[in-house]
Amino acid sequence: MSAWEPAVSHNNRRFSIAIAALAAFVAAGAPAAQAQHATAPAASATAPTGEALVGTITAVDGMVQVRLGEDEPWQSAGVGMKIGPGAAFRTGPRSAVRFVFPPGQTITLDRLGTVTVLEALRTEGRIKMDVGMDYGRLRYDIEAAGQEHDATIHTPGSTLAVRGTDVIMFNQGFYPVTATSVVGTARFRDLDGSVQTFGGEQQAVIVSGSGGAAQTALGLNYVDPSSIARGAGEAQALRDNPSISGFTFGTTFTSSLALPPVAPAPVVPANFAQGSLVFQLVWVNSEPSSLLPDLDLFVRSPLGELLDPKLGPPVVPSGGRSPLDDRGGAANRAGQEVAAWPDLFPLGRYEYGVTHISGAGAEYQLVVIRDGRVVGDAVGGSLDSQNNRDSYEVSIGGSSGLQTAGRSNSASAVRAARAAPARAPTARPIGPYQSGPAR
Amino acid sequence: MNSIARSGSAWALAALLLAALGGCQTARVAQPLTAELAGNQPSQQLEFWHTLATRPLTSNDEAFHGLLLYTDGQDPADSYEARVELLKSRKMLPANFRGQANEAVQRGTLAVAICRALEIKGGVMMRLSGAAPRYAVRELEFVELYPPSSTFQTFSGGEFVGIIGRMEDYQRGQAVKVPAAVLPPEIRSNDSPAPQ
Repeated sequence: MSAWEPAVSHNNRRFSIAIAALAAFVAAGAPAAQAQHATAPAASATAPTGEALVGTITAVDGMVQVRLGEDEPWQSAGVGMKIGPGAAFRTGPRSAVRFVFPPGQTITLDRLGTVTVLEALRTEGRIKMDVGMDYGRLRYDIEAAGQEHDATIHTPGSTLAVRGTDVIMFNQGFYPVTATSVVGTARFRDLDGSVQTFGGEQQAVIVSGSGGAAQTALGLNYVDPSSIARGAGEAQALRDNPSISGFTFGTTFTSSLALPPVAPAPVVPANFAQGSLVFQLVWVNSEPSSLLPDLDLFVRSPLGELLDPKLGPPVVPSGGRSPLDDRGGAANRAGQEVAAWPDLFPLGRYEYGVTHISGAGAEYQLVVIRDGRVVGDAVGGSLDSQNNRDSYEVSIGGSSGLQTAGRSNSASAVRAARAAPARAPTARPIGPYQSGPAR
Repeated sequence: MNSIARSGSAWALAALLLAALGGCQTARVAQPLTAELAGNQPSQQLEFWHTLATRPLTSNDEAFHGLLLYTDGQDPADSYEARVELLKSRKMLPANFRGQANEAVQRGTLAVAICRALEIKGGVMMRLSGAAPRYAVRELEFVELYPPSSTFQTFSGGEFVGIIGRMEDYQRGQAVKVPAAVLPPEIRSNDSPAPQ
């Protein structure tokens, strides 16, 4: 006997007790429900009589095992296998099994789930099915024509009664139990005993504990997954700077139908480090009523490469990128530019800073982010057409990060840099970083 | 009343002192499943998943084994150290990760790996910060793979299996409007739900 079997037996015993308790609760309470569900609790409480139905496995995808009874061994499921009451299935990732019971009942267990056929009977012209799902997602379709069906899906915390409809029951992990009626009506009994009838012409969803289909619908406000904004501030920034999305090459939501390829381990050249290094500049007007001025972020790598949205290429050989030239212009918004090495970055001393290109005065802030962590403190200051450049230096070492180097501020420096962009600007160290302007 | 309040404060102080002296202990899994159920055969994989679903905690080793089973279809590593190295080489674990095999896996650690595996780029902060655990957790909350979580929380076995299921839903799409007659691969090949 494998290590799995005792656990399953234990689980099934607990599950059976829970089902029996639920059946007793149904029989004892909720008169309205009892009136419409008289058959289900009665059948659960008494020995079932009738003709046992025989089902057939009609499709298997991926890793699926079946056992024909609680004491039977697990075996690989195959198309055409016959099953009856007591049969249980379990599926792996990217796996599913579909089986049918006559007449017109199709059941599919999706990935990473377990289900047991507790009862499958034809009695006095009525089809009675009872399936128990420990966890997973079960889809159950009934072709109702000409036959009365009384089908129930049990989970450890809820029960879904199905009559001539298509339903989906989901119960997994910490997610709430969710019942979906694709077509037709169904009755959902929650752990607290509350009963909801839902569904009809349109799809309806009930989430356990939500109070009903209408409340669930209210709670399931649709959020466009292609949006990358996570709040009002981000949304505003993205509206103002749509090219930010180019920074990381695409939208956030990928419902790719195949597994993403696993990238091989990158080869890290000497004097490079693996990870990301980002320089970020944000700025606002010094005077709120004026238009946003044009500021530029520049970064010169230890290899002498210049990232500057106006003076340099958008991508440099070491992998650094400067994809965004925010030219300001509008009032009442912030500007932003970034320079980034997404995967690898050269080690050594970086010169970085900000130049005032045009417009009124601006207040700016600069941060350096290595592998998701801001190194050192953010630096900031004020620039205008007269005092039009601040520059800083930072040494990025092999293990952590930031040794403060210095800062310079001069109009002549930016003029010199723009006249000869290939030449390294001269930064005049004046001591440790300061968070305010060096006036 | 005052004496009761003082007594309560004293107990709270004592508890704080004990916690400070003892330190925060990481939950550990006594016998990770990977000691016996780390095989790659389908039957062994199913044993692993469905036994894990009944366990109260998920260890680092179990989580990484499960993650590799999901992403690769098999686990090419034969030890915890090899798994960690493999995941580090794919940048699914930070280079300075030092967790032990039997420690309960942290949601932040796993969130980074999941974001990498699913190629979730995230919001502005996550894009700027790389896949830092804090922002990776928030991102997975946003796409409803995670419930509201802290970085240092852990998972039960059933919760971890649920997360893996959600990863698959994220990639393949949830079969929420699809009749039972349609299997997930058929949804893929048709690229649209079958008529209801």
